Amino acid sequence: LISAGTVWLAALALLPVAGAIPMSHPAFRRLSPAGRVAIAGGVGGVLVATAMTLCAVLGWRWSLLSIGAAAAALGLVARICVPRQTPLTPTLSRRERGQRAVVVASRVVIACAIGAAFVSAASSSATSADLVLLWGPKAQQFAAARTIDAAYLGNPALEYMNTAYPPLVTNLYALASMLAGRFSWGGAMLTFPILLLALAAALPSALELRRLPRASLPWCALAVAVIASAGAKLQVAGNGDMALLFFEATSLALLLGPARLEPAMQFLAGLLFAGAATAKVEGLPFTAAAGALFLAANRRNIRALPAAVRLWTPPAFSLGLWFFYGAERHVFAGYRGFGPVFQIFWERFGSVLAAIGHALGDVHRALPFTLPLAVFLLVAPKTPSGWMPAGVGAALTLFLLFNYLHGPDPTEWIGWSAGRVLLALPLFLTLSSASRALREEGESA
Amino acid sequence: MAALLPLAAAAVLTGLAVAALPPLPFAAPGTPYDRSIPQAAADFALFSSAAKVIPAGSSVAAATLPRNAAADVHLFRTGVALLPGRELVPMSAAEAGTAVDYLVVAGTRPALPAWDLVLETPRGSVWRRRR
Repeated sequence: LISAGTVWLAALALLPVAGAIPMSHPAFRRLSPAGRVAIAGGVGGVLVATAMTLCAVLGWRWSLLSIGAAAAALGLVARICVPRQTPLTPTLSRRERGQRAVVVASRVVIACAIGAAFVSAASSSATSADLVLLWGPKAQQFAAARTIDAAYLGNPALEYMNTAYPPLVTNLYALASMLAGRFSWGGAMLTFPILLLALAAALPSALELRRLPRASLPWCALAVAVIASAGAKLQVAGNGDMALLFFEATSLALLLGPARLEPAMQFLAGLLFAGAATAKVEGLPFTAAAGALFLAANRRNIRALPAAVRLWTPPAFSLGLWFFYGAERHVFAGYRGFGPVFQIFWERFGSVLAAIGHALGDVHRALPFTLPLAVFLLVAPKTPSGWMPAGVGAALTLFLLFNYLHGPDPTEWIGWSAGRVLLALPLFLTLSSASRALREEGESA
Repeated sequence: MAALLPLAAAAVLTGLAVAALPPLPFAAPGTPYDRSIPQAAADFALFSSAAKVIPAGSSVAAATLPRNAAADVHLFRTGVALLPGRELVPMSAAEAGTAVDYLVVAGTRPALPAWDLVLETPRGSVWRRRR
């Protein structure tokens, strides 16, 4: 007998099928097979979630037919929009096999880290408090209503659910709940290790295409280990953090990799930007910073305007659709601020930094943050492109500091949010270091 | 050499992740919060049981005994998640406790002469208004 939880998870496993429509473009065949499946899962998630928002905007009741038709139409549009091109980067040759022991050791570490994430999620050690507070209830209500339920979102008693929070995760959870017949709390918890596995498959491919053996694996091992150790401690299982990290890291890796100057890869990064922007609120500043820094770092090699269109059109459409829904149904009008924009409580600066330090110190004595920083200082990037992820991390950190200095007393808020939001920083530092190591390794090969 | 740095750091962090795991073999959790937020686990279990005796369409309020306003708020939010299809009424609302069909009480078992006890668990009890 197949349990509802199994069907719930199996429904999410169908996302790579939806993503296969744009990913069937020849430009993406230079990604490794495992990487293509993982990235297709992310793209499929974006297409299906956006299709569900589109159905809600149009007043179409969610069904397999309506969602499938809308997702297929969006997939076809995305497939048509993938720029036609001949690859700018030559097909990469095989490297010497001198690093085999490092590759094997990296694979072992990655497997152990994902296994640890699986056990922590399955044992209920890593469950997010927000799963029962907002992600789960919204998803099961949307599944029951067969649409994004404006009345539910507008209920003043449910304001704590963050009405304007973007819809990707809740939409996908709702779809799985519709297919399974009920929401699966266990299934939601297991999205943490599943997305970590997807990230482990996507990163080497995005950073190196099909080149073998994988010189990026030690860096991928570090990225996966950072999330496995800190994510479990910070209890991210079941919330939107892991989805956000997947979209952020994969899109940045594509914009760092050997095919970053190719329009098709930039468009693919744009599709993943749409995932980041609609996974969590922090995805919007990430998308803005990552796109801007990519354009600045590569300004001598690309035409800025077409590249900006490729990067920012997908997130603008996907998030714009959500904002349109909120405004049209009078449920919300964009993201809500905390008051006048320039009202900054500078006197809090010291206490905010101390609270952040305390919050990070609670996570394995801050080692998931300080070890990647130490590696970054020892293997700092040498090119503007390589600095791009670190710059995005710095921009997100400033954004977070701004929020803490800008709103109401943030002491309690910092305690439960700083570690999770700053988890992207060691990940981005790792990608920056990886870019230098891979470039030097590529030059010597 | 450059490859060994991230690998060593990854090994250390993976070791920390493994060390933080519950001892194997572990019993399957009864709720998503058994090993992460024990207080939330108790409320989750209470409402999971309550969902079996409170029919869809009913109105429900949830309260803690002894009374604690902050805990009431958390209880309400857990109820919203675990009692889909029922109308959850916050305890701060005027009609809570007077006009609802069911009352979920976390904590001490109360004396409620106008209500019938329909479920009792180690964490609390569920009451139905007598018609």
